[in-house]
Amino acid sequence: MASSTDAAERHGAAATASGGGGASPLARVARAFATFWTGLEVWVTGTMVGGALALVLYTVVLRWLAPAYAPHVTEEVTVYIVMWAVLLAVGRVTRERRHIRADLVVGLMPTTVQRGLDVLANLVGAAFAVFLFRYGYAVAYEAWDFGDLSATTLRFPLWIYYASLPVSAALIAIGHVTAAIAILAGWDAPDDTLEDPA
Amino acid sequence: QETMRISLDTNPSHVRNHAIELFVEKLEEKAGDKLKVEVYPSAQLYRDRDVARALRQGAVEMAVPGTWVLDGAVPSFGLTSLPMFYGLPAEVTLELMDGEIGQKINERAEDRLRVHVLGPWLNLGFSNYYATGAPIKTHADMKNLKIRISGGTANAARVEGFGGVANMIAWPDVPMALSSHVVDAVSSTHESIASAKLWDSGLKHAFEDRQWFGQYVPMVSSAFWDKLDPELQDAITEAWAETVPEERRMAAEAQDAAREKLMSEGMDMTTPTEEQLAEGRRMLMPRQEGLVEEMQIDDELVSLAIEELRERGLLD
Amino acid sequence: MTGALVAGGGGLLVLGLPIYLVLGVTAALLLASTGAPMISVTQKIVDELNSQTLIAVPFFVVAATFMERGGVAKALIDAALTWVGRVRGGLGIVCVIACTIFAAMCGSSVATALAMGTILVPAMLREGYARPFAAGIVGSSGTLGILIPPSLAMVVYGVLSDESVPRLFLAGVIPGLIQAALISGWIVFYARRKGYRRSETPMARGDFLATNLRALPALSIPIIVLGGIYGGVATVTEAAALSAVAAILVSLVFYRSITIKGVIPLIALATRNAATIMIIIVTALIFGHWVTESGATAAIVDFARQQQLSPAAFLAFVTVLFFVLGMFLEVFSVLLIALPVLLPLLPEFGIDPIQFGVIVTINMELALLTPPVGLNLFVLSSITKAPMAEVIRGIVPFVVLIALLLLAVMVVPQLSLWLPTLVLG
Ligand code: NA
Ligand code: NA
Repeated sequence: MASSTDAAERHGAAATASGGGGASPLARVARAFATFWTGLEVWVTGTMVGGALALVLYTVVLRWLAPAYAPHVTEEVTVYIVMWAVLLAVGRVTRERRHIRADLVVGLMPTTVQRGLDVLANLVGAAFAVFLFRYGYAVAYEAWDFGDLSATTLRFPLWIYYASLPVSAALIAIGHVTAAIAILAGWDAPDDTLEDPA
Repeated sequence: QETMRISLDTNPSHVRNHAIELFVEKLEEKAGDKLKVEVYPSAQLYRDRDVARALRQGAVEMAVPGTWVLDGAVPSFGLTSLPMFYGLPAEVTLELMDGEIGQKINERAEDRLRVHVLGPWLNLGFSNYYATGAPIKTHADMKNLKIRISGGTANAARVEGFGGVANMIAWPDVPMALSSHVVDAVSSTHESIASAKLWDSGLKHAFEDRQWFGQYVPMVSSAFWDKLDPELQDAITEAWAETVPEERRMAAEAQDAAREKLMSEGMDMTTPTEEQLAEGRRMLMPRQEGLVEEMQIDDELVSLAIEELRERGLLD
Repeated sequence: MTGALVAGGGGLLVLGLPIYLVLGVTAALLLASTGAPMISVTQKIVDELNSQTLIAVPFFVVAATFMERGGVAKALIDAALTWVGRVRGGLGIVCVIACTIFAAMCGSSVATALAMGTILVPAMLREGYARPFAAGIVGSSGTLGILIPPSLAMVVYGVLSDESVPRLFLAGVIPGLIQAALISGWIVFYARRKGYRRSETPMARGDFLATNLRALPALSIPIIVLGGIYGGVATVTEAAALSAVAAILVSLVFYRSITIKGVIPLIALATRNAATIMIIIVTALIFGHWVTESGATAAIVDFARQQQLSPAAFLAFVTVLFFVLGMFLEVFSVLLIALPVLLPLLPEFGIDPIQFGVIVTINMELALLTPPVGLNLFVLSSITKAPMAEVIRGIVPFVVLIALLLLAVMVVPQLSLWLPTLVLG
């Protein structure tokens, strides 16, 4: 059984290696980029959530031992950090075709129809992501333009938190397009067996 | 026929909701069929924290959020939470906010939030401290107490000014946090404590120090207001003006009733003397300048308020 | 127009579109048809995510992922099996007990199912449990997250109804234990009927001791978290983060199937798994926002009110209403939509608001398990990688059990009222 470290590191490779035979230089570059990108995402989201955990631990310990020194912005900051990371991760969920669906009816249809519907779903998803990007950008821009702050001790510039949505939407759009292409090309969804020892 | 949706984040039993019912009644008399009003209580549509942006975007027509959720978008709403207002009688806050200063704050709000402010603000009541363990009898008893605040730069400064430790804890976590003693006390109003029945979570002592006087600001989205015909605008403005005095009576009664309720549940009330409160104000005043800067409250308004308070002999 | 859009949404669902897309696209179109500015839809998404209560989901998933990967879970399960391994379906009962204990740390059913499922579903599959059965056990025991205190659903109920949260929490304890017992009973019955295996010979004393000793460090995780909450060190939300930190440390220090280098990628993996569910939760909340604005619920309740119902008939009506809303909406949406119109009617029917809180909570447990929008179904489908149909099939008997519990709580007020009255007077 692969250790989780290996699994996570090999994940990027797994994501694209399943793309099969194509050894053209372009495909290789694309694959290398995908590996790099997933790796980057893993480190960014992992560090953000890990950092938030460390911050909560630090706060709880200080409040217990030396209350006067415990930061009182933790509660707010952790939400911004973790939700940023969660929204970023939706891009990966999309690319890896892990969105949950109700397959009650679809499961009964012929494979070709299923594939067609799958492509369609990803195109609808791409369109929705463009919508999210367009108006998510508007939300962040408005908060920046008006200089909205949180009404808390931290007085946090809200556009920084809101910017998570357009960034995530862009990644989701790319994810859906990638997935549509992969389905048309007949590539399997990134294999997860390396990660789930079950 | 226009539809005006009003977003509130308090429950139907809350004084603000009662006031809005009253307002709607009066408005329906005046506007007749021209306007359909729908009230959405309990944050069904928006939490107050988020409602200012909904107004600005024209996603909802009217809301009556508290000044404390607005100071992030319009810093001057934080004015009455500053140390100089600590322990003052309600009348002072009302005189200033119904007057020139309040007018200027409204103008800033109209500009920053793209809203129309309907008129005078509604009253909620004073924030006080409520403790679980030992009673707070004087300001000295607050030393090292862990006190829950809902956020708010001035709220934290006030707790720290008396040597307490401010903890920002979300409301849903408060009952458990109190009964397990993660915090020792909360800053809130009689009515909020009573309606959440927080004596069940161990609150036993109140320290009625009148930290600051909470008010609600009536706002209509400009996107909606600007397209109404003037007659309808007048009807709304008049209905509001008639609602305010009645609401202020109701709010005072509600706080009194809540106070009675708290005492009947065994909570003891410590009411500091005016001298003690003035002394408390003096303790907090050194923090005011920093707060004004940090919160970016308009210096002009701060100076105006200081002047008014000095005239009344309430500030050194 | 509205009807066509809702039907269209149903069509998207049938066509197998991701749930988040079905809800998001339908809600956006419905809101657009009412003239709502589109910027408010995206604003709502970030505002809903800006929530202290939702943050517990990724934290608990991180904890569970480390427990599963780091050998913590295995140590715990092995130890539990030394006690109940000779009972058929013993591992299923371990799962129920684990969910019950986890529910005492976590106020969310989705987080409970996600965390416990991550740990226990692989173990049950290894033991030869049928996939639908395993999914049913975790899905239904996971709903205890909102019935056993602390409970986010009860906090929301308390805030909306001005009721005391500690009283509501205490009211959920006995019904929660009954639910755990009902599920365990069914597991034993089912496992016997299906001839699930059990260890035939009693374990050697040495093995028994060794296995239990090995589980001791793992046991420190729930102890740290429960001690943190009830000992006044941490809030319920902070406890979620503490559980993750504890799981990381215990896996690194004691079980060592994870290296320092593996920590960050594994946190990222957990975040991704949480994101899969959370994107559905927010789009479901947007959809709920439209349902609120439509005013349909208020109209239905108003109609019912004019029918001069008896208290029993009123409760039946409420259950049907919650069931239907719960089929399509997320728990918080249902509570926000229904409670403000229902709560004022309680005195009229002489129903105790605390008992009603428990009734509502059990209804919400059902909502988590009913298609088409049932978050625990999604969680289990995601963990087991089983088709939704299989998960639903597995969950049906458990839905019947919870419905029985609901009936009992309606008929016998003491089930919910005895404990809070005893403790708080
Ligand atoms: Na719970
Ligand atoms: Na459901």
